[in-house]
Formats: sequence, structure tokens, C-alpha cells
Amino acid sequence: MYQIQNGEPYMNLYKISHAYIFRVRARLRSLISLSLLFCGIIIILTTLISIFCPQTYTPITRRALIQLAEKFFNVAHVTNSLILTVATAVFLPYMIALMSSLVAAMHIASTVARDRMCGVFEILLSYPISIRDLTVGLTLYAISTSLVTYIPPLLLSLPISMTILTIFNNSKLCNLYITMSLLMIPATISSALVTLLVSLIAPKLAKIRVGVLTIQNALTQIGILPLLIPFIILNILPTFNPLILTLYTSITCIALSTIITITIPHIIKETNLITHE
Amino acid sequence: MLELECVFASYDGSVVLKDVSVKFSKGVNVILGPNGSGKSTLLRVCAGVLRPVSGHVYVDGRDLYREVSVKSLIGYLPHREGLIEDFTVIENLLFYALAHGLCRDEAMRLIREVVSFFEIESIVNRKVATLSRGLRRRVALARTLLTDPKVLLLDEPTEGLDPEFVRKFHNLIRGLAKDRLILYTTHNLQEAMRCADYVCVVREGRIVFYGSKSEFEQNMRKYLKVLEDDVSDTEW
Repeated sequence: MYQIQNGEPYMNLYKISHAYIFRVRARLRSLISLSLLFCGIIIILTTLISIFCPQTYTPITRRALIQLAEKFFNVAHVTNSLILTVATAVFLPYMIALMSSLVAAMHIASTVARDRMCGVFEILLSYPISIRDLTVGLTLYAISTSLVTYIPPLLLSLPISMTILTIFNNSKLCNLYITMSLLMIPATISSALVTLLVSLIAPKLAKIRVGVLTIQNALTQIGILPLLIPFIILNILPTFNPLILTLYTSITCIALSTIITITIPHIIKETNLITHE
Repeated sequence: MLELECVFASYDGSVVLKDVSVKFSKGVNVILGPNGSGKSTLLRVCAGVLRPVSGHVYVDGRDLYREVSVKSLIGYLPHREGLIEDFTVIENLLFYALAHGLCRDEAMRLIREVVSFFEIESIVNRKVATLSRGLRRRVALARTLLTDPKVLLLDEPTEGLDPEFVRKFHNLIRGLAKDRLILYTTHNLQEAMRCADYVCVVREGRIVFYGSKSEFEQNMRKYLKVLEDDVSDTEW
């Protein structure tokens, strides 16, 4: 006869977090591969466009790049190669962050939608887990997914970018590159959290389709907004200290995490997480 | 062990369960009722998944919706299996075991036991998306029994299983029911009568009968009308 011992399992936040971290680890290889693929394609495309068609930069971006080049190289006449170097320092981390955020956003949104449809949340709600625990688990899942998709391509691009930047023997530019990379960490996390927020609070939108996309999936692209904000600021105010911007995005990220883990359990009900047959 | 007191439950404003008060006894309690009568909703409310609009659900005398820890006594198998499609069978079992609060070593030991019992050793490394309905059902059953629950809530557990395994499953259920409470919904009256200790008939969100199998059999003709949707495809 089948028999197992009753272990009187004790459930707390750590346990659900452990389960969700396990879930990210189980999907680690596919997440990193997808992110590397996207980032590789976009980096090659951006570099080729920057070299062969530098005029594709908008006037505002070009002006911002020239100002940055003047600041870092102390030259009166800024050549295209200098603009390209500055663009590498500014755009590369940004492009990696943008692509990895798209991968993370797609992954998080589809995970929440599929878990709702397949009944995963239904099972979890029948476990000794409150909606608050589940939300914390999902928040950790979103944060770790965004980090897993952002860090590996960034690390891979680091030696290449540093080589380009050191050719110009400009340590300030190397610092700018590292600062931009750091700036993008809270920005990508914020992007993942916004995606999670939209996926959790708007389940009904998943039923409405516009072409091949559901409105909810379209809305999850709002998640890219936190990434655009620092980019827009650096375009308009190129001399703005990126470190202060990093501080602001970090504060936004912490505020978002707090909002999700404290407010969402009060807003969403069980019916947001399960589907009526 | 499981008691519902004046429970009303609704989805999107429409009331699905209306003033349900019942005290389920230990053993196999089979829930019968036409499609859309509220059987699955009743299980969801009992599983702590769908909070009732009003009323209380008590498990072991403790309010299910006030004490989250009471849920550790419950094992729930919904109509949708709740398996993560892009995970392998072993990853699914491990994810749920960790989420339930088991440590990794204990989880792996229990997983080995259920995997062996449900004869799914050969598919543990296969992705759930590639499995047939019957195999998914077996994996979901293994997951439900992983934590040795004292209250088992099974929504059409044998759907999609082959007859030989259904027989084995019924033996398991009979064995488990000795010291557990099992709520079991099915569309098959023959199957229900084979393993039921108690029968609960649900219609339009209300419980119209709850009693022992013999009491049900005595009043069967009266309830056949209620169950006609279910009976039509059986050999009762």
C-alpha cells in the first residue's frame, strides 16, 4: 500500500521564494540563450548602422553624443569615430538592457498568463500560501529573471567594449560605460516589475485579442517605459550625472517592489489568479 | 473534519454556490451533479482557492480562510492539472514540493516514492507538454499525494486514465480513505458507486442530498432526475 510520512511542512515566504528561484534556475539556460541571441543580433546591427550609416541618429541623439564626446575628449571638432566610441559607451549597455528586458517581459507575461490558464496558481492557492506570499514569490521571480537575462550579455560584451574604449585611452569613457551598465540594472528590474504588475492586475485583458496579440500582452510592453526614461534624460541632458540617474532608478525600483508586495495582495482577489471553467 | 457553514460563492458577480451547509464525513465522499451545478466550485471553496462571499469553511475545526497553515492538510487536484508545460515531470514535482514547504532532500525522497507508485519513472525527464492526457493526470495525482494530505479534493481524477490504472487508483483511494476525508467529483455513476462511502448531490449551487451510499441507493430514483445530465452517458 502506498504510504508516505506526513512531514508537517511549514510554509513561509522563504519556501515560496525558494520554489520560484528554483523555477528560474530550471529555465536558466533557455533564458540566457534567448537573451544572448537577441542582444548579439541587436549589438551587431547597432554597430553596423553606427559605422556605415551614422546619419541614422536623430538630431537630438547626435547632439547629445557630440556634447559627450566634447566633454570626454576635450576636442573642438568631433569626428565620426569619436561619436561611435561615445555611442558604444552609452548605447551598448542600453541596447543590451532593452533587448534583455524584452526577453524578460515576454517571459514573465507569458508565465503569469499560462500559470493562470493551466491552473498553477489554483494549486498554489490550495497550498499553505497566502496571496501575499505568492506575490512576493512572483516579484522575486521577475527580479531574478530580469537579472538573468541582463547580466550574461553584459558580461560578454564587457571585454569587447572595454577594448574599443581603451584603444582611445580614455578612462572617463570606460567609467561612463560601467556607470551606464550599473544604471541599467535597476531600470531592467523596474521594467520586469511593471510587466508583472500589468500581468497580475489585468487578467480580463488577456481574453481580448487584437490580431495575434492580446491587449494584455500589448500592455506588458509598458514594462519598457522605465528603460526609456533614463535614455530620454541622457538625450536631452547629456551632461546629467549618470550616477544620480542610477540613484533615481534604484529608488523607483525599490518603490515599485514595495508597491507590488504591499498593495497588490490587497487589490487582487483569488478570481484574478484563477479562470472560471 | 471538513465543514461548510452557510457558504455563498460567486464568480464575476454571478452566484455559483448558494447557502451551502454540510459536514463531510471521513471516507470517500462522491459529489454528483449536472454540468455547471457547482461541483468544481464547491471543491475550490473547500481547497481554499476561492474565498466565499459569505460563510465559513472549517478544516479540523479551524477556519480555512483565516489560518493559512490549515491548508497544509489539503491536497487538491483541479480539473486543469496545474502542471507547468515547459517543465519536465521531475521539475514540476520538485517545484510544487518546495512551494508546499518541503526541504529539497525530503522532497526528492517523496518524489521517488510517488513516481514509483504511479509508474511514471520512464517519463520523469520528459516535458509535460509532450505527455498524453492520461500521463498528465497521473503526474498531477502524484503531485497531489506528494505531501500526504489528510483531506483530498479530487475533481474528476480518473478522466483520461486507462481502465487498468483506474482500477489501481480506486484501490489506492479505498486505502487512503481509511484515515482521510476524500471529496471526489465524477461524471460516471458506476465509478462513483464503486468507491463511494457517502454521496453528495449538487444542483444549481445547492446541496440537495448528502448521505451514505445506501441512503442514496434507496432514494436513487428521486435523484436520477436531478442527475440526468450525468447519467445519460453511463450504464447505470
